[in-house]
Amino acid sequence: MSFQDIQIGPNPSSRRNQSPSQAVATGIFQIKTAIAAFRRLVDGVGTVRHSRTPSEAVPTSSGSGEESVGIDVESQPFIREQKRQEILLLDNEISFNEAMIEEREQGIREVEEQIEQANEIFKDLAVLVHYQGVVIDDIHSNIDASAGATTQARVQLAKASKSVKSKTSWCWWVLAIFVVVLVILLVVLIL
Amino acid sequence: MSGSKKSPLKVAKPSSAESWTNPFDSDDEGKDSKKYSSSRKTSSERALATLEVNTNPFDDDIDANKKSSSTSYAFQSANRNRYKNDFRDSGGLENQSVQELESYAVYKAEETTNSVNNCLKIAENIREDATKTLVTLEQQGEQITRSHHVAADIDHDLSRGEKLLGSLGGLFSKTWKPKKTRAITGPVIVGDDPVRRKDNHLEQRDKLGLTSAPKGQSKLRTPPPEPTNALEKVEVEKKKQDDALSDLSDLLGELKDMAVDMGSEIERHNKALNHLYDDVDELNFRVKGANQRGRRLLGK
Repeated sequence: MSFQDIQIGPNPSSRRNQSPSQAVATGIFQIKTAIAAFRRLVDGVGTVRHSRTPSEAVPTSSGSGEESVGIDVESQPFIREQKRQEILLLDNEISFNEAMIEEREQGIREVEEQIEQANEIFKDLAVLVHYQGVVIDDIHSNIDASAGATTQARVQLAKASKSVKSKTSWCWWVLAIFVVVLVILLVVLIL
Repeated sequence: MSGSKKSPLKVAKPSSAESWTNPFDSDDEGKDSKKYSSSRKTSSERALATLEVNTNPFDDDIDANKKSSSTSYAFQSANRNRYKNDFRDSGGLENQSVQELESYAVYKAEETTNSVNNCLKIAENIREDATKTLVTLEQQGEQITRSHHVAADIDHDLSRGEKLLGSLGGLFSKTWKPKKTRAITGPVIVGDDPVRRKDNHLEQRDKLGLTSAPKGQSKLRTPPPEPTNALEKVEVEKKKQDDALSDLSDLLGELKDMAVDMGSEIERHNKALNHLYDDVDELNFRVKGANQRGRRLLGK
């Protein structure tokens, strides 16, 4: 806008100012591209500020000033709407990312708690199994001792049985001798 | 002539004013962009920071991993120290540039991956302990069976002893017979075989489980060389985390199966111990009777 005003003015002044105005334009264009590399929102802010400078230049010229004011009025709501849309998009993106991060955090936290609980349960189970092992070892040793004692008892009873049998045979021999003696006495008395 | 002279002066002044104001506008725009981007990053990083705070129990392991990695890469360790300092200083995040914030995000994602990997390691330790417990339970079952066999041998010897006690005694003494409440049965052998077959399957499953774990690790190793940008690195870290979590899920499934098998094994132990208790109780009764008989014989 401001460059058009300069061109409408006298010719020699426009000729003299062409090269610096082009340099300023290229500089502004480079600055815009650099800002666009960061965020789209920054472009909106830049255009808003650039639209302000023609309004400041308005009092110098009446006719072209009115035209520039009209153009500004038409462009300002569009720029504002675009800015709002971009802000909304960024806010939605930020809130979405935060929600994703929080959800992931909760999931990992739950996994951690469950693994800790499982670890405690398995440790307790290992301790109980160890104690049960000690008890079963005692049972095993006691039953082994009982088996040994029972075997010894059987051996001792076998020995007792043998001794009883020999004693019985001795009694039979004594009885036989007694009977013979009685028979001899009877025979002697009869004769 | 005077009117024409005045007009070029007025035209020249606005052009110089515009040239003066332009660099000031550009500086303001740059500052605004930096502030806005830094505020956005700080909000996302704060959420990551809370995630880091929640994983505190694993800090020691993470430090150990960092120490091992710092020996190979001094520059990365310096950056990581800066990130830790930035994390501790709450105000420091806002003053950082966009690139450093992206590196900070990658760093936090790697920390999360390390936390998940630590969970996976703990689950593997649990599986090892569960395997040992299962083997111990199996050995105890076999020991109960052997004890029951020894009890059956005791029954055999005791029956012989009772016969000898019956044959002892004089011609005129009373005949003695042992009182038997119930017959002594050995361990239930029919029920043991299928359970032992299941145990063999369990051992095979454990071995297969041990072999499958390094395969998962090898899969995790293939993605790392691909990424170039910070965002791609964060995505790769997310994939690593998802893979580790899926491996963790499989591992927990195995732990569930092992726990169920432990339950069935302990149930079988309970039944075997009940049988052993009944048999030993009967043996106790018969041994008492035999002792009474022996005392009577000695008394004569």
